[in-house]
Amino acid sequence: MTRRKLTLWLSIAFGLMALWALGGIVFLDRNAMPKISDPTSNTIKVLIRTGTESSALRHLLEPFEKTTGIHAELIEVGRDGYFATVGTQLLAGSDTFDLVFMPNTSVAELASSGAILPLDPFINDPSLTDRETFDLEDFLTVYRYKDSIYALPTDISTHFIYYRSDLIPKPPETWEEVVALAEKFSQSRNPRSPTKWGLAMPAVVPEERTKIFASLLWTFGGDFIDDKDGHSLLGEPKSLQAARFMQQLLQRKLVPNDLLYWDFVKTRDALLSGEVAMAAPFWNAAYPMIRSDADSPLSSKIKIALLPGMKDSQGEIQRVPFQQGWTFAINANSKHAEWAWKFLSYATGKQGGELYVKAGGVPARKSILSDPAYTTTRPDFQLILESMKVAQSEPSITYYPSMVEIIEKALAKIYTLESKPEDALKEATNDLNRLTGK
Amino acid sequence: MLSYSKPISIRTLLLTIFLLLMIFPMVVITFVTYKKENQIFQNQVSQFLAQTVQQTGKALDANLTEIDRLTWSLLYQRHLDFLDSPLNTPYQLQEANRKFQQTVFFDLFRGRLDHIRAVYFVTPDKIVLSTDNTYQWAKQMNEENYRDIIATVDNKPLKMHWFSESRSAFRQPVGFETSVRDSVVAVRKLIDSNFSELRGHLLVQLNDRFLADSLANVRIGSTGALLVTDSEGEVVYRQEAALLQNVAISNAVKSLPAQGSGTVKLEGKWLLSYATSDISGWKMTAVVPMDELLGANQKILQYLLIMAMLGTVIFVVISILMANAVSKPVIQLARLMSYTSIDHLHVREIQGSVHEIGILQRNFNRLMDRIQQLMQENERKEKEKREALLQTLQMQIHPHFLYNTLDTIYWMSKKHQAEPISKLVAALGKFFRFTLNAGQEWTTVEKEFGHLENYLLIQSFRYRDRVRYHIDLEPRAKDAAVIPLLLQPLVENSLEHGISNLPGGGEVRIDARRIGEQVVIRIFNSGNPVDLVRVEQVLQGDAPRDHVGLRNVQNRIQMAFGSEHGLVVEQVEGGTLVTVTIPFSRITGSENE
Repeated sequence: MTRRKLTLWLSIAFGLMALWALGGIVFLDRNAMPKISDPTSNTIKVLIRTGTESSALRHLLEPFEKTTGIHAELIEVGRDGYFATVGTQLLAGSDTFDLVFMPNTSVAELASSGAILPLDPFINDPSLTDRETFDLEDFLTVYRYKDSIYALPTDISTHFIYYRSDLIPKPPETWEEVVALAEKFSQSRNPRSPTKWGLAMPAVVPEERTKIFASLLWTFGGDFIDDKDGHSLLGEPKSLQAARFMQQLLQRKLVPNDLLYWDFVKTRDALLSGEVAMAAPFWNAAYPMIRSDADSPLSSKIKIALLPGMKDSQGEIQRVPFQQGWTFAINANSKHAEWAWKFLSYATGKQGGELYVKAGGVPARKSILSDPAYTTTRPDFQLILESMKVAQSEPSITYYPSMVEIIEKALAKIYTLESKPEDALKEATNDLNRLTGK
Repeated sequence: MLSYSKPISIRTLLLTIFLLLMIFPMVVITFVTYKKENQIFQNQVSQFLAQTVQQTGKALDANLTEIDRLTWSLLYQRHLDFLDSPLNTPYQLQEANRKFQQTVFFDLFRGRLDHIRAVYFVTPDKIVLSTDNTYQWAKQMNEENYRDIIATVDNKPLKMHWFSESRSAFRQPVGFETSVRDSVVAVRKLIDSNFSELRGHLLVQLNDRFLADSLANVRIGSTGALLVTDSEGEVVYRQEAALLQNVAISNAVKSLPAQGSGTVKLEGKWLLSYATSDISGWKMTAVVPMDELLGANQKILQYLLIMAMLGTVIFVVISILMANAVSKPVIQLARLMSYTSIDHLHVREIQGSVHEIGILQRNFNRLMDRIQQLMQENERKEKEKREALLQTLQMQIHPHFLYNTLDTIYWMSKKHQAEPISKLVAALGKFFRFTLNAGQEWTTVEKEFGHLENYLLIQSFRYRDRVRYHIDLEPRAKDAAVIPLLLQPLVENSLEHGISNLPGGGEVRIDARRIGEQVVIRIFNSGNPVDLVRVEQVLQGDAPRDHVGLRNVQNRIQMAFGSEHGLVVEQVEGGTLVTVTIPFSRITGSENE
């Protein structure tokens, strides 16, 4: 072997060893420790209230993730502290959630403070939204503040009358008829009544007491405030008439005396258990739940009808049921606003709407509500559309929570028979006018 | 069969040493590294696990403390406006409840509402104020749990107490399908600081996110899990993990010490690290499978083994290369020496990269050169010696005749018509021709016999017809190679010692036969038998110098054909027979020149 050959062999040997050593370092470096992925890297969080809407929206999460690759997580907060949570966190600039589920009545307050983002930039961005598919005109309504859209509805709410069709073959058309039937089916008035109470309705705070009363107030011709100048109309005779009507129901024990503690669930369960013959005004959202309740023998006997009205001077029945939209808005401090918009547009879009229907929700899209495919499975849709023709929304005002608090306090006095309606509403009128500076 | 006495080749030896030196340290290092790393890894993981548990425990304690501190505003010199009015009428209750809600939502827990399921205040008269608008009556409480809670709180009335969900006094009806669940309950006793009167008990029912937000994302390895239990072993919080469904682990967690912290191994399969909170008394336990702990290390071991195997292959290749590089010149040298030692002295040109082996090769080459030189020298000297001896012998044999004189005599005899003389001279001429040309090393038996015939013819003149001779040459033997003038001394002896003493003359018979690969030449003379003792003495060299002819013949035969050949003298009936046996071979061209 020559020196040259030996040198070549030694070079090859050292080369192999160096390759081996370097390969080992790289090999061990790459594979020694398992990689841990961050599951929160593409997640958006949705702040939502516990209720029918959250249970229905939960069914959208998986399809949404499959469609977009974005994981959406619901942060559920109980109904009692929900509005305080939403208002506090948004105004505190919290970024713990990207989307917030809220009623349309919160839009003005939160939009005016800059806590939620206007949606027009997202809607008008072709890379984010296909306007034709998204079909903005298909919404029953969109919620604006100062000409900008801030929230889109994913769920529409209105009030019906629920009645036991086995006891009441024909639903009452007017509140006088309701009272008459309540007399018949209240054991306090008719000991032979199969139901304890002729009528029931939710009256808890924070959201149901005022909203349920609103249907009565507007049907009787009253209102909370004047839309033009904001001064209180609670002291007006028609408003008083509505309040008196409610107090009479309590005084005559046609409704539960602890009505202030009745909420959506309790009212629904009272219908299913046969405790009450009628529930009105009561939320349309209860209907799919009642129909699907396999435990109650009464579920198929409970039917819905348009909320009763009042006959006008011509004998026509005037109905003014309450309506509101539960909407999605984007937290102004969201770090993933575009992802949030994707979820918002998915949940409020037609595809999301279809899934929402299957999960028992009530989408705010005309095309779905009027879809003949749902005539049999969701008969409430037609009634919702009919109700929506005459339904009224609460005023879109920035001081809505304060207004509601004043009204709730007045209604508590009326419902507990603590004060006469005129006294309670007078105080509320004064408080409202003080609030608005009128 | 393995033979321990068999010497090992240098290549095997080098290969073994190289492999041993390379692979043994590698195996030892791999093994030691793995064992040591395993130990360090376990210690570090145990420490890390313990730190994780303690840190998480501290974070949880901070969370609990925050909830506690949020209630501190109610403890000292604080007017509780929700208790201002009597709670006799529904409206008073409603109004008190509203104020209580405002206090809870806006004063106390505003920033933590997403973690609060409901807050209850129970007066000494068991009137319940609640953020849960459907919950207003003491009769809705779980009385037994409530009594237990109050009893526990009364033991340490100034502290906030924490209870697991199963010990909650209030349970909300399930109205909606929801993922939010009740979780732990914080309870604090509120006393009027001015009069030390009991105002009531504040019960904060938290939801499952309260704990999950701070604990769900705590990673205990990839399959490990975290578990929080109260002092009675009731689960307060558990991460979603199949591991925690294991009965052995559940039992082990329950059997852990009630206080303090530590790390224990369970059945050699799991590592449990726990820490107990001074604030809540809850025990936080992290469980992680040993397999997972050691999994990374096992993986490292696998990689090490793969590296070791690759390394072994590389080392084997390198060892073979190196062993070859070192041993090849030595093996070549050894082979050369073996080859040379057998029958060749040719030296090969070897160039080695190993300096010392190069020196050996060069020295061996020199040695071989020297041996070859000495052998050639020796051969040359032997040849010279043999030629000198041959010349001496030939010189002793040659008679001194002058060829020209013979020729003159021949013609003169012809002129004077002396026929016998002319025959004699002719024969003598042939005799000298052959003799003078006998410098050649080899001749044929036929020529040698021709020469003998001339010689006998000449001698017949001398002995005046008392010599009768007969020559018989077998044709197969006539080409056989023989040394010139080998047989003449024998015939001369036959005449001088056999026939010359006979008054009536005698007979000489010469014949040659080929027998196999040998040629047997016999020379018989009649007369008195030869003295064999004396012949033996002559052949042994013990005889006087005048009898050197027979011994010379013997020496020449043995020098030319080897010691196994020679002549035999024996007494036969009527005379003496000399037999010469030589190997049959033909004269090659160069030998004939």
